[in-house]
Amino acid sequence: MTAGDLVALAAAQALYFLAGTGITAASAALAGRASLGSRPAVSWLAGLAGTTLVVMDLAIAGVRPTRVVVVAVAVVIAAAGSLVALRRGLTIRTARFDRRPPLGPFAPVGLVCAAVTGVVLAAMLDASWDRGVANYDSWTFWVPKALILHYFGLDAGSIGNVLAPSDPIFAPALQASVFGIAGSGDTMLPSVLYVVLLIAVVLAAAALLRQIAPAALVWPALLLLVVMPEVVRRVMAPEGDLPWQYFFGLGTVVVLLWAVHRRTDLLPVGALFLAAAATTKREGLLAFVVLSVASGILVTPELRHRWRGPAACGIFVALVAAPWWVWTQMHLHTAGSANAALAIGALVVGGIGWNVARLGRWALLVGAVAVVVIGVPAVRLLRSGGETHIDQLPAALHVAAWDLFDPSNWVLASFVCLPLLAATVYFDRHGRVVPFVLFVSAGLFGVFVIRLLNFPLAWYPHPSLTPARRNMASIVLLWLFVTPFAVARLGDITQLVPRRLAVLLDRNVPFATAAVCAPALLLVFVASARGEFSVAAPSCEVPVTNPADAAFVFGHVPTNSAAHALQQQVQKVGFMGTVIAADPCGRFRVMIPHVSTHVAEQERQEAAHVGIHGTIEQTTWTG
Amino acid sequence: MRPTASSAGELNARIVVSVLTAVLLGTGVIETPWALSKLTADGTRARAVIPALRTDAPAFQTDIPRDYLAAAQATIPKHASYYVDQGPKYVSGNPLMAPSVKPVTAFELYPRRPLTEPQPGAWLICYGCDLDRWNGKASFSWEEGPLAIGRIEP
Repeated sequence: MTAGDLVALAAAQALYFLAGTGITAASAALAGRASLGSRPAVSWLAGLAGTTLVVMDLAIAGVRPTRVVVVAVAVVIAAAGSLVALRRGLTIRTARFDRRPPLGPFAPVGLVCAAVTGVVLAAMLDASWDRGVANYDSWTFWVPKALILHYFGLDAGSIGNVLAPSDPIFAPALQASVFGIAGSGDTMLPSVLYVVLLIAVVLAAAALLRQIAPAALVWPALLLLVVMPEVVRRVMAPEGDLPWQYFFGLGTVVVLLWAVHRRTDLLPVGALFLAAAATTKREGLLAFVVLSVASGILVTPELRHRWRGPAACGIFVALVAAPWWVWTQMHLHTAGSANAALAIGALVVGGIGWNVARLGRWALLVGAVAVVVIGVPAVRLLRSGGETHIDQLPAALHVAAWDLFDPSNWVLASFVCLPLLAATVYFDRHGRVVPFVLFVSAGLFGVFVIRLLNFPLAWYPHPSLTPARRNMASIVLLWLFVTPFAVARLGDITQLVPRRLAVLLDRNVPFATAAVCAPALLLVFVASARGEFSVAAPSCEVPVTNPADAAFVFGHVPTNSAAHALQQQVQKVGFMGTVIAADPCGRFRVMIPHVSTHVAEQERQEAAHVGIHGTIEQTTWTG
Repeated sequence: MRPTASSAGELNARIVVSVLTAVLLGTGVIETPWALSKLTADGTRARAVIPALRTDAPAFQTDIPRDYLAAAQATIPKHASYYVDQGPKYVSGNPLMAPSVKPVTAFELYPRRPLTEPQPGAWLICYGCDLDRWNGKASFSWEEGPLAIGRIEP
């Protein structure tokens, strides 16, 4: 990655923050608040979503996302937002972000978790540096779509050639925006961009959740989010899965903040998050529909009087998503009709469904009708890739349930969050938050199990290779985002702690934080410097997958000439039939190919006699 | 809502919630060294790749020859259009190769524009195709076995 790319990435974030500040200012002013009403991180992510949504729809209209276009979009959003805010009475003097809420009891715990989360995010940023695009889906369609947008605009001929042409283009538009600002399609950029996106998501989640939950509840959940194996494995892959799940999780949190804490000013931000989710992947659109159905069914009598905001939110999401399905229908003729019907379903349920909720006891009936309205296109969408195999239902349920709770994906996140949510139902019996979240979770689980029926499960060599794991991530992320919200509704759970300790902690927050945090950070840095967290050497070896076609490798060297020198050296001591081939790190290896592991072991022992310590690997020619 | 611990049930629920929150915290902390180790190893491995080859990860995974991709990048001008004629003459033991030739080639050659049909004057990539088919219709400037790069006659 060049310095120019880095500057472009930073400039893009500054533009997003600028646009987001305009959005949050307008939202706050329209809701009658005297201040901006949120934290800077929320503005950053709202600006990222808002700017990218406009860039995406402009691209569909034929405007290529160049530097001028992206800058203009961000500036216009910022200016329009500021104008609305100023006309509604927000002044420069009062236009400031909310003060940070008190840290709450057990602040040191929260601060230590925040610090460790920061260390993990820094490690992600470091690992994403100078990293090529390696994931199959990334280089077959996600990044190519971004490159097509950057170089040619939304060219139907080029988009039609990639592997999944009809998947929506929010994520490619986000990448293309940064390409546009950088003025180059450097494929090293997306991995770093995706880590920056996660940083924005974590900070925005903390800002939103900290308004109603203490730091000691919020940051452990966010720490677990960033260290979960599935997130660590996929965070740098420029795909659509994690982004739609981030935006959907945060959109749901905003809906809850509106419903429970009357944060009308955040509703436009939630609409942007949900629109980003719906336009990143088709699963995001399905999830939005599930959320809308849950909202329509579980709406409280009190909320029925405040239906206009969510109705506008639903209509906004549908309108933002609509241009893509119109375009796919006109240019690609693939899955467009299903997408179109789904978007109409989203419009009906998301927009009008809230209005319908005013019908009170009829809401359930209308909700059921809405399920049918969206169910038909949903099934069509699910069937669009082939036949639906109902006989696979037990296998699909098994795979989905396994993936939802598999500790190798989420550590104990599912095992902890679900009982936590269940416990809050027991405690807060009249609350609607957790039933709502569980309803949404069950809806997502059901939709994704149905989706699995469309995949030939028996074909997959391992269940982990099905889309189930990637889909189940949406539920686990939702639980992690919502758990602090739900638990905080119980009030002060620290009443269990001996009062004397609580007072001591409360009075000595800065000291306690420093006492716990500083040694912990020091320990991490010292251990890191000592190489405790690193592998001894970069592993460029190709593990044996077929013992009948192994290779004995004399060594891995960085250049072709060094490989020839090593080849001559081993020939001099009697090893004939060696060849030079590439390894996965782009270096060269000198090897005897196509031997069994038994023969390779004999070669290894003979080589050791003459001081050459080789390895037994798989025979491959280009790594 | 601030509940009071008036009933045993509420107290039990609160204990459960507190314990589970502690488990949530502990899980994150315990998992952190693994995450840092994995990320450090990933970063080390990414940096071990020679800078010039860092964009070639798809080619590595699919056994598509990097020489061919380098030749295509050197031969076909940026912003030109090209057509890939893929045939069975170039074989590999890697099952990913055949379906990946066009996506990998396109990925490596942007901003050159891939075509779905051959067009007069466009560049032509023959990837294991039957070269005789192009006799008199295209002239090739780079050839290596069953791989060739040339230009379709205008």
